[in-house]
Amino acid sequence: MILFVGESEDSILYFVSRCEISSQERLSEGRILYKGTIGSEQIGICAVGPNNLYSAMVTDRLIHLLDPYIVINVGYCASMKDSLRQGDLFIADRYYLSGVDFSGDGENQYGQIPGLPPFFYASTEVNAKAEAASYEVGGGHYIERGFMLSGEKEYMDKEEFDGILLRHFAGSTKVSAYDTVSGGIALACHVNSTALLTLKVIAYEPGNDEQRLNYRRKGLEAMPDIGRILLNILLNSEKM
Amino acid sequence: MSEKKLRALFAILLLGASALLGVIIFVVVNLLNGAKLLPTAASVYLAFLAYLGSVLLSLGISVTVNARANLVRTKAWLRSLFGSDEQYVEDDAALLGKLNRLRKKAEDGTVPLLLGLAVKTNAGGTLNSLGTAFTYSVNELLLERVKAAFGLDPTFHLFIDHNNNYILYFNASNVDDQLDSFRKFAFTLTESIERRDDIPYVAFLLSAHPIEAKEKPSDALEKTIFALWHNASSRISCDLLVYDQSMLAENARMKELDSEITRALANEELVIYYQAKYSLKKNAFYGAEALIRWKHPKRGLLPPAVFIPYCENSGKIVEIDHYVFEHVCADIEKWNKEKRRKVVISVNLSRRSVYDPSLISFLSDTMKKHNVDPTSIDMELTESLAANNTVFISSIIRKVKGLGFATSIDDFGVGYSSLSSLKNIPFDVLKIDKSFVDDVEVDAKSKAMVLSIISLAHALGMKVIAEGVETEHQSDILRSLDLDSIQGYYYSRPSDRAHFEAYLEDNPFEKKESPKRKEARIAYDPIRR
Repeated sequence: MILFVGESEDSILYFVSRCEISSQERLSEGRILYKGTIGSEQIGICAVGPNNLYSAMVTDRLIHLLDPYIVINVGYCASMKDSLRQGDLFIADRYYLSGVDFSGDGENQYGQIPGLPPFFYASTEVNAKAEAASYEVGGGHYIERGFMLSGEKEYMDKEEFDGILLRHFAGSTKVSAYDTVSGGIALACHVNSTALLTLKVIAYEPGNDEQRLNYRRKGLEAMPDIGRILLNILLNSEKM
Repeated sequence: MSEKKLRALFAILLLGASALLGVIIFVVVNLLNGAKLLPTAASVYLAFLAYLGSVLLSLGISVTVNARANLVRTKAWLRSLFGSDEQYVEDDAALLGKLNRLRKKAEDGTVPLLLGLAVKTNAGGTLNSLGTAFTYSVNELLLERVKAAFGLDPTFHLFIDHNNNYILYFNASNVDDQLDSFRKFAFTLTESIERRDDIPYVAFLLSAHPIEAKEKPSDALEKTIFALWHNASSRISCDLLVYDQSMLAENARMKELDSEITRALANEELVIYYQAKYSLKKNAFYGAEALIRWKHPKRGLLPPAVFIPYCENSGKIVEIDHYVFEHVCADIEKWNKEKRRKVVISVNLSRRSVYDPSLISFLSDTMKKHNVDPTSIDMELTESLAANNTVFISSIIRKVKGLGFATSIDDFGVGYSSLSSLKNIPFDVLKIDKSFVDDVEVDAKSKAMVLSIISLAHALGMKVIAEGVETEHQSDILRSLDLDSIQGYYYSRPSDRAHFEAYLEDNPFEKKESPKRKEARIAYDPIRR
């Protein structure tokens, strides 16, 4: 069983329409869980957003319900560095939580929850497969692997992102993308020892005011390419 | 309305109609019953049978309609590519007639050549097993590529039979060149399939048969299709087999072996042998590995190498894994009842079993059936299996551990990505491969590697066991390297259950040896002398 999650119904629309959906189930959180198959693989698809609290709760519930061997997180995110532009694809190697600070002085280096590791990490083997498939069938998008920062606030200005990077990550250039759900999904996968692959499209470059109107549409536009990459991995390998 | 929705609507209508028919029959039968013509139980039974029959009929109609729709689409695609759909041959007689006519037209100096092409799924099934939608997609791609590759050859003719076997006919001036171009075509086809996101990965089986001068077309066709599917489960994609008489004998051997193994499983001819494991920390035997042997009624005791490779290819290995696990559980149950010493038995898991969706429920049910404590069993996976698909294997190992079993990585050090497997998969025990132990007495590199593996495994919280220990000297060296336990001929050879039980009760290694006796024994040990 493979579980596909996204921040909204828009993010998972491509998979819902391309897979053989056999049943739909309304979860108590109001989310719809689609069950079906891709090739010979059983799948579940669910929108778990819009924020980290919900995504952690719903993903944890789905993992207990479906027992997937991997969770695949799709959707869109914002760029945190100049080289990642709208329409590029991003594969997350690590997940950091933003806005969590138990240090008392506001200078916590990673902003992570006490008792948990400073960051959650992805399966490098699966990420490498996804990267290779992205070059193969990714529709010519630029692809980058890096660290995902995930918080509870939608930032629009570049200065805010730069401030976070300088204050908590010493200006690290590996922290490349930001969204509001991946941290929760990574937390749920970490506590349940389930593998996670995140493949998202960069829909917004902070500070680029023109993109404030079209970033959701731009995110949706890349979904067929993301779907093609993931289906390529799934259909060409017995198991990941 | 889309085709998918139309089909769903059709299926619902059929089911509705069948339900209505069932209700009508139920009412009629009850009316008969009201007139005291039938007893109540018989009326309910008849109504149920009528309902079941009508549901099955509607499902059958639905499947037939789907297959027919796919055939119509394939024929339409053939017409658009080749101008007619006569390539699709629904009965063998028509195909043979066409082949006969073609061969008569063959020019001198050319060889009539039949090439076969078939699709094998990941699970080893035929193209039809993928379902109608995928079957059509693959056929569409194949036809397009076949036309592009061979369409310009005036001697080329294509036939597709009802099993989706592609038969390509050529009058070849050079058979080897034709076979080479056929292979190259299949490789490009594989690449195209890999790039498609709407088709699961499939492998291509290829065959060839040059038709001899006086050979009947029916025989030639039969040979081409025979070679096409010969030993299909163990062939890789684009593997081309030219028909050879020896294939028949090989096939007969395989069939005989298959039926013999089926009989052996039913008659319990397969027996479990146990090879004891010795703990260097406790200086006592603590467990054993379950190994399989075949007590063949005619050929005597056969080692696994004789039949396991065939079983791995044919899928019988899952049955054998289940057989071994079931018997091990039964033996442990027996030992518990007899209040014998508690031992941990290792059971090997094959690749196919790991991918079998029923594995976890089978292990759990069998364990409960025999009332076995899961800590008495250790599931072993080979390193090569663990190195592939670590994410999936890791999830399976977690589930196996969740049932309470210990898990081991077997043959460590001979595969690749060993360290990656160790990092990602939560094994409890690491078994060092025999190849490191064989020369540990004489090769400093082997000794250093064994020491490093032991240190690494201990740092990761794993126990380490060495396989293939055959001498006391090897055992002493491994003990000095802080190894936890040993499995090998020096301590115990594989033996059947009765001998294993007796060996645990009475063996030379758990008895305290007097210094004088040990000195005398070492003096006569040819390796130590």
